[in-house]
Amino acid sequence: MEIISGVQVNRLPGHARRLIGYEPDDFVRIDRSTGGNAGYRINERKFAELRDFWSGDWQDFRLPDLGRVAYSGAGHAAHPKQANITVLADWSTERRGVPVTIAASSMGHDHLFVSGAPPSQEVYEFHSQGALLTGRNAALDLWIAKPGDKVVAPADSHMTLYNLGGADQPLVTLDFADWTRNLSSKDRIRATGPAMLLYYDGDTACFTINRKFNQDLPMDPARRTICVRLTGRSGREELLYDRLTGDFELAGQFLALGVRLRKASPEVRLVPAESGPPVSVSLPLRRLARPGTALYDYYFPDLAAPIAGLAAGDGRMASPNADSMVAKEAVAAQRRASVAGYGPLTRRLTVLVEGPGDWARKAYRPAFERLASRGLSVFYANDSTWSKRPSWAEESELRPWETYLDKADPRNLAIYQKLIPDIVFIVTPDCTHSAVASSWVTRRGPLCCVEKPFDSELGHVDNLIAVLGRHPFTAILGLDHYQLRARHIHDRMPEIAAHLGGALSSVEFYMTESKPLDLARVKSLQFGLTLDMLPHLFALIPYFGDLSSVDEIRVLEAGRYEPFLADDGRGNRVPVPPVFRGETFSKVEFTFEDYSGSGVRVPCTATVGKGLVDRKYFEVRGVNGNSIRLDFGSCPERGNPSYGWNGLMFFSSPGRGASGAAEVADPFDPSRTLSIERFVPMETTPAVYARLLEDLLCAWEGREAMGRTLLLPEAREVVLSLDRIWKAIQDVPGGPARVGHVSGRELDSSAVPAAGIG
Amino acid sequence: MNNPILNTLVQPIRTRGTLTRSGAEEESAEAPRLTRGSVRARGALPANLSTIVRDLREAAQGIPLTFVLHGWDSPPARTFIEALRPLLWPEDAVWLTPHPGTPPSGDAGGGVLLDLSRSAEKRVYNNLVADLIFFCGLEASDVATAAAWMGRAQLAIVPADSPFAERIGDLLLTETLRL
Repeated sequence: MEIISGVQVNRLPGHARRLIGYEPDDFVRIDRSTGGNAGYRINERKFAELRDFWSGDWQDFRLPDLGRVAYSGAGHAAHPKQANITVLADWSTERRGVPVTIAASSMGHDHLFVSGAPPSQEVYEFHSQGALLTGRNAALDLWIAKPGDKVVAPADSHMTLYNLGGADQPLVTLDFADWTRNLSSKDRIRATGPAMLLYYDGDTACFTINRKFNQDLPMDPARRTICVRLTGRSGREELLYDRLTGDFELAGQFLALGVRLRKASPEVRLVPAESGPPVSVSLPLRRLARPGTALYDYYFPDLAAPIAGLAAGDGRMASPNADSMVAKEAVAAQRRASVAGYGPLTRRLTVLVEGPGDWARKAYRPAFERLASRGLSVFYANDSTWSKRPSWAEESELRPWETYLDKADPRNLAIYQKLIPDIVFIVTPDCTHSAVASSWVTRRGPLCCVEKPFDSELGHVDNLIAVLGRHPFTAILGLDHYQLRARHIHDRMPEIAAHLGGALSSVEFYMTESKPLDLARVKSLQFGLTLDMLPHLFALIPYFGDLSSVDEIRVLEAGRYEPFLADDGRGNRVPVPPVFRGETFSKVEFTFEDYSGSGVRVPCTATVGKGLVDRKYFEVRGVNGNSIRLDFGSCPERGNPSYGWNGLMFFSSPGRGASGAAEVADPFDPSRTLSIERFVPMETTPAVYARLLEDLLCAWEGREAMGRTLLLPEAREVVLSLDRIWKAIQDVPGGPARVGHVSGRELDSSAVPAAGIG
Repeated sequence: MNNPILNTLVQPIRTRGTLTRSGAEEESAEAPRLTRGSVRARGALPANLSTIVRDLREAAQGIPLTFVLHGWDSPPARTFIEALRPLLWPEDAVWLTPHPGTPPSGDAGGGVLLDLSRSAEKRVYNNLVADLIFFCGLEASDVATAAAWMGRAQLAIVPADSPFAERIGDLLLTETLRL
């Protein structure tokens, strides 16, 4: 397993010569000829160096041979900085003559305060099961980690690493920090001994908390020791992980001794030294611990980030590659178009729409009208306990090919449960999407298209994936009408890739509306408008890059417009009910990797919300200064018709306008003049939905719209990113309801609060 | 199907199917295959319900099947469903309809018995698409009903000795060819 480029972990630790070395038979082998690996310096810690810390509770145990290696580290102190490596293998020793195993640990140290140093002093990434003890004295956190998890070691805090993998699996971690500002001291450990001792007595893991760290603890070691029996059919390390992360009683016992058990995850937040939003990172360090990333910038802010076309500083050449952009986008689209193993239908198409709400009326029904003459049966399945039958779906209003069913009616439910449609559209409330899709998976429905956002909860999507694992039949696609409408990007990708210089330099997205909250939607939007509006951006990203690379998330702003009123649908402004707890606008920043293959992360800024000026576009800038903009708005009254409303525009870089390019003032930024080389109008939403249905009548090679959807893994990435962003918004000081009130000030230079909310 | 009565009772008729596109055979191995429908010449069909259902499943590639039985609950319809029941998957749908003007009666036995005198259920019936439809062929109204199923079913079955079997078969076959 390669944990960093040129650094391999051996699968057979028992046969390894050294914990870390440069030879093939070393447990962790560093290939010094790869990248910047020559900068590694291996430092083996022998028990002789640990003798000073072997005190207190540890004195019951025999100190192993002083010449033996206790643990090993490989520090990297060169630019460009790479992650350090630590390996800890358990220690066999004796306690009063009886053989026991002590879980290997770093014995601990205290971080020292350094003025101006990052508050998140180090980031640890675990590549096997382990724990990191952080905190101070009577308030310690024991982070339990599995492979892939990360933990931040804060500044001005204690920290100790522990192996939880057992005798057969040494702990392997990577850590990243600015070594010039990562000062620590072992003075206290020398005086007190380590904060915690973990040893294995037969099938029992024993955790003893050091009283010298917390004077409130009892003198008797037995009363400061928590014993965890590890008997069961799974491996000991699995049992230990499960108990430490899922046993409330055990958590209570630790808490009584001043230690809070924490479950680590791949995501950590880096807190800035100055005021400002934290940056959330979750990708592996092997992808982030390099120049040009927010992580690197956090620790080394003075080193300039690379841009595509220039050497990244770590030996990589971030070269633009238009062919790669075209090829990767085409492959992704083809994969989506063929995911539904569905041949062309020559008989009547049967469609079922789950949730005949306003969107079904506005977007779907007109699309059905277009296709009705080809032979179509449409069933609308509603649940009247959630929302009543819409007036347009009354019996007298329906076309002959339409049928309305109310799942709250037992008779209708029996009919609904026996329908076998060719395609199911799920347009129900967000939180039910995955559950409804799961029901169709168990019924072997051939194709389910789930509207954006795919779901409001990552857990729901994971449940759907689990159900799909048991019934691997149904094809699931995520739908977003902006992605469908933006299909010109796919059609013109060779042109676009060349226009942008073969790689992206940045992305900007606006989805802001002047109208206030719709009272009828307040309940479904209660967790904030970001969850409703930002998915459009994530549905557009797959045209240019891999959604799984989205990371380094930062919420720059979040808040509510003022006065906080909603539209009741009758032209009145009424106070927003208290059920709405979220934000009405947010400004978010993240990075992703484009299809150029350069590995350089592309910064993306998104502003979404209501109560601002109407502004809906997606602009992609290339490394050559050119850009494209997809505008989703229609020309407003007194708007400039020369601007490419509701279409795709190709902009020349400033001052390099191509001959024949139209010079137009940016309607959203008066200081910017747009040099529009080309304009391609976009289709309407009903038209693109009709295309999606037409795809079912086509051979898969001829499908146009189905390739412009999201595969289930992509949809999961969207939900995951939204989940992370939502949590980051909640962590904005004061919460989303109390910060950044937009009234009376500008969100930025051009997205100003709209007049007339009140 | 080893029931000798059913072997003479059931006469499958191809009503319509997905016509294989020219050049489809040359499609790459990765390309999704056709999911429903098959082309069979009349008379080449196996007069065996289990074989018919197996062929339909093959064409449907795992998608559950939809069956619509007309003339519920006449003896031929009951005989037919008894033969069909062992071949059903739990996900399959069986819709039962009485003769026009007849109130629904009898135990639906896992199927959905539609009351076509109710407009909402008549609408459901009119919008169903089936893999296999069954007619008793005992009443003239079956012929008109069969005509309404053109383009909505893969296969029709009528008892061979029923008075309207030939007319239903000819009607559907003629219309299918026109497709």
